[in-house]
Amino acid sequence: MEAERFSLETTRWSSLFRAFTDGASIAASTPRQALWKRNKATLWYYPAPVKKYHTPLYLVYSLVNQPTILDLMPNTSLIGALTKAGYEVYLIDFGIPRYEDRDMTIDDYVLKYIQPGARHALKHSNSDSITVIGFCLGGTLAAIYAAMAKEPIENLILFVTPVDFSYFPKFDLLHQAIKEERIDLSPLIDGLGIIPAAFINYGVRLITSPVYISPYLSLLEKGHNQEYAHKWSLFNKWTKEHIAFPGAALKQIVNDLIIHNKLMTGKFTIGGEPARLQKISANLLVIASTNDELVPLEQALPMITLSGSKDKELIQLPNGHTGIASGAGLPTNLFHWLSSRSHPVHIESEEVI
Amino acid sequence: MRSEQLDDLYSQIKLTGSKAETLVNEWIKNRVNKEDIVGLLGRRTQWYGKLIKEIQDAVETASVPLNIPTKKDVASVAKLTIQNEDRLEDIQQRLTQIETTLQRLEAAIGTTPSSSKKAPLQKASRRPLDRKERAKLVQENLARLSDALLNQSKLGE
Repeated sequence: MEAERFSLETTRWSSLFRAFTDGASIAASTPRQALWKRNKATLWYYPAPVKKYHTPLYLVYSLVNQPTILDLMPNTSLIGALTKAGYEVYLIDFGIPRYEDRDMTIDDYVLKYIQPGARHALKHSNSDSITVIGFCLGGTLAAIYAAMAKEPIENLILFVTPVDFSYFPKFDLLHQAIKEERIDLSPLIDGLGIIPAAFINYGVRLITSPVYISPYLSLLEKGHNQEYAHKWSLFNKWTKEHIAFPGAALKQIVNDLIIHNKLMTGKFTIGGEPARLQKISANLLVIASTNDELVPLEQALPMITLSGSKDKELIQLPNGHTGIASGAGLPTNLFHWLSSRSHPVHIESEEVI
Repeated sequence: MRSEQLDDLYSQIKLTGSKAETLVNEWIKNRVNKEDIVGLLGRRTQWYGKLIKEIQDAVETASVPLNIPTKKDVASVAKLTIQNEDRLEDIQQRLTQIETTLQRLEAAIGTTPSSSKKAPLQKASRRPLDRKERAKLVQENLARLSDALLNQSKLGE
């Protein structure tokens, strides 16, 4: 008995030690192939082992972190769960911006990457329509794209997506100062050109958890379980892998979204054309988290009232910001919602016959 | 210490640590969200932005006699590549559109002439082309359009 306990304790403390010394490498756990590349962006294709739906899924991830969280581990991979359910999955991975990308704007992200990516996915899947799924700020981009898209978007699913930028309860004074331009970020952004990943990391930490010890205490508590320790180390590595942010895109977010809240007022434009959320006609599913400090419910919920979709639904989950994206606790009603709004393969084959 | 007691100890450490973390984080957030910090940030962002610009200008100036490339020089070269890639992508998109249109046209020509009066190409009184002729015509047109677009792109440069 004592020998068994000793072994457990050795595993526990070596897991904790490795957390401070080793860096686990994150590799995609679901088979995939690159379909299209532009600048640093790649369109990945994840085939379904058994294709059950014609409508492919097109994933748009956030700009502040890497999309590896969507396919972290075979058992808890969101992409893996979707392909196993019979969907062909396409992911637009924006890559890591460098100094030469400092002039990239939100318009560029939508017009040069998201829209062509969707066209390539539609062509490759030989489908008449597509389901767009956005995560966090990628969800905001997906909603903007859906508002101006010429491509046939059947469904739009937004995970923890901010659309109303007037609500920052913990930092209301800072928010007010930025709105009144008492804090002018432009000289700093212009000077830096591209916002270093470390700055993004500090910003996210400040909003969520400036002191960050509870994950390490969780590892101390459960680190004797090797599977838990492995998942923990992958997740911990991902949380530290923030990426640089193009200055022009950040200035646009500060000016158009935070200061003028243009998505709410319907004045946001892409390539000179209006991108009004009221124009979205795709079936809409908004998934928001009640324990999300980065994107509070109040920032995500207005999408339901703003969107012009006739079929819209809201799912509220008790997860944190990344709980759903990491595949942990995927709601079963998400799959029900999606399957009832995607074109199944077998019905069409019956029609053909 | 017994095994269960040890497990309880780890759970207690986790619970107490998490509570302490929440308290400290709330304190930090409240402390940051104050008028004096806001004022300081307002002044420092201006100052820091100006400082970065002056350092960069100095480096740009120094790079001339030192005969070394700056980050901006390297980024300019990378940007040229990105611009060329954008142009190629644009041409490719146009070609795809043309290809799709031609495929639709080909499909429309391929339909039986008396099937519907609404088909726009039925008005043409020319002899219907056979499969090989149509394929040849599409290929020739595609090649011509591709050349024209490439020439246009070169003129644009």
